[in-house]
Amino acid sequence: MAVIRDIQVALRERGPKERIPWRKAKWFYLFILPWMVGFLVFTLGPVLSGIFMSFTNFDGMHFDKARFVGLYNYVEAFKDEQAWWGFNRVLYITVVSMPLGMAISFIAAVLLTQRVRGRGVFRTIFYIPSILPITAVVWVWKLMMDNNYGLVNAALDAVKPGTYLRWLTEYPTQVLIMMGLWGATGQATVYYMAGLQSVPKELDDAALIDGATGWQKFRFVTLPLVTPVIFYQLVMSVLGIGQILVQPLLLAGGIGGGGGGSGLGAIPPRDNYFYMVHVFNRVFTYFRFGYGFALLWLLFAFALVLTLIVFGTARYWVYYEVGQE
Amino acid sequence: MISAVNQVQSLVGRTRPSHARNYRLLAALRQFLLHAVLIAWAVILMIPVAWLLVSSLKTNVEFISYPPRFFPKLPQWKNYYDVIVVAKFLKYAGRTVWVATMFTVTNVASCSLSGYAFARIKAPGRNALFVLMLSAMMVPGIVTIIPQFVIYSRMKIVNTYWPWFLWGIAGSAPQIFLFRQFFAAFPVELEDAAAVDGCTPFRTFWQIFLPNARSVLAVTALFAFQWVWGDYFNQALLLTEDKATVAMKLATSFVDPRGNALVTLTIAAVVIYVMPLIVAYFASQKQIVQGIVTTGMK
Repeated sequence: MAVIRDIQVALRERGPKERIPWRKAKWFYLFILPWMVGFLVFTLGPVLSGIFMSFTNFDGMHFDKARFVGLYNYVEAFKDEQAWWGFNRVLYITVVSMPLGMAISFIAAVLLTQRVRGRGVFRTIFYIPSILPITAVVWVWKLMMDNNYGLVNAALDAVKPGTYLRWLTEYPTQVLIMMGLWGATGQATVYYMAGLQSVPKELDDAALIDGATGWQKFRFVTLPLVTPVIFYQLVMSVLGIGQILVQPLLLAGGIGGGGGGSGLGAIPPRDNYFYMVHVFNRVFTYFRFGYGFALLWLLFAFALVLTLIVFGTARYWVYYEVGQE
Repeated sequence: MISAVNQVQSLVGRTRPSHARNYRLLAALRQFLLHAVLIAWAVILMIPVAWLLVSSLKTNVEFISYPPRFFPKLPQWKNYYDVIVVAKFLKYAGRTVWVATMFTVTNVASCSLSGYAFARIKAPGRNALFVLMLSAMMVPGIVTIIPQFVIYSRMKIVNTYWPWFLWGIAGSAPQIFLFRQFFAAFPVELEDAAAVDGCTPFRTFWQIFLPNARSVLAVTALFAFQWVWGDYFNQALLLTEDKATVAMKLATSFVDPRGNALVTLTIAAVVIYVMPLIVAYFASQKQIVQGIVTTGMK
């Protein structure tokens, strides 16, 4: 979060007035050289070449055969029904899991910053799912939700005999949402906790003197001061919209998928055929790199526009202290 | 102001003792409710983990028998022995450790240098480059990985561990930012004294700043190592079976010679796989959380 503030500070700062002699300044460029080269090769280069490639029929290997095809890829993208399907799935999972995730992690943060015995233990437990790497998280949830061997179906069957839900094939998106909420809220909780703890004690006391109830104190003192954190979370999730790829692929394998069906080559059930899965499939199964890039840029453009809209709303609800440096 | 509050509170307490008792009762009730909610929540969060643990102690047959029982009849500790000795867990884990170490060393070296430069050395264009570096964080990884894949296949280093070495040298914005924040807090006198003694900036960095940056070095190294250890996507994209890492092995399960999945054995492997991360978290919880909050990344 300090990142956004530092960007603002750096943008506002004017360059130094005095001229810096080259014999001093050269060290700066020398020190950042590894990063600079890496940035050019691994970030800027790929972004620019990706934009360029999206106007070609590049197949990933044969540069000599690649032809310039103009806007063909983009036109095709808009007619691509599978891409639209994937896009709709992305919208669905985002609309359900983003507000849920933000609400749950915020509530968790509020509870975990109360004065309560054993707070440290609770904090640790709440964060543990976030430590687990993706392959482990997917294993955990396959074991929970498996049609035949899963704990959830066993529990449902015990409560209401005869209940049998095909979670991984008929409700895969719901499984994915649960998995995401379980595995990722700890992260956001930590941010919110940091935000809540930075609320100055004096303001709380002042509110108390003015006779504010607990709820009023929360609504008019704490909440406004935490809005920058909420804003940051919102921006990051909107920017990363539609990036969901590895979870549905790994979830598609089923337990003990063995050689076939699991790994990056898996095709998830239709409900989990998200936009990125489609892109990945076009690129690495059909070797349509050019087309894949067109799809990528369209999604990125969409995310960017949404992010700008979020930024535009900031002045109505995000609280910034005046003269904050 | 705080003393004023205390006065008000003591005043209230003195004049209306019954309210004070109510207040205490309310506080106790609040404490009880909070505990109830937190405990229920924690149990829900931990059930999947518990299920993973008990499943790792079952036989394959027990695992697939219906209806499932929560606890194994006889805990199969042998699963852990088997996955290490028979399924050669350590071979795959060793590869991950090797890749992760290579990445960690180069990444920490590169990031500490850049972070130091952004914090302490003035030069034209520094601010612009700083903003550029931080904005690079906003570009989703998926956008850059496909062109990188093309580059690596042109360089003929797909299915080698070289990409992680190169990624390490290239550094990573969150870690650079972490170093920059840390070095920016050092007193200016430190550099001035070094400059008077005729130290080059590199010696100042190497002999004065770096030895005093152990905590941030540890956290960034941990983040770097964790990234490789927990990453599945890049490894599966760039490596094939003969170079498979532990994450790749877990995704496709360990199999017996006839190709049948050894499910409970693989579950045991998952448990071993996450252990180092849990231990590392418990060992340095405070620094990790601080690092996460500062950079806004995992």
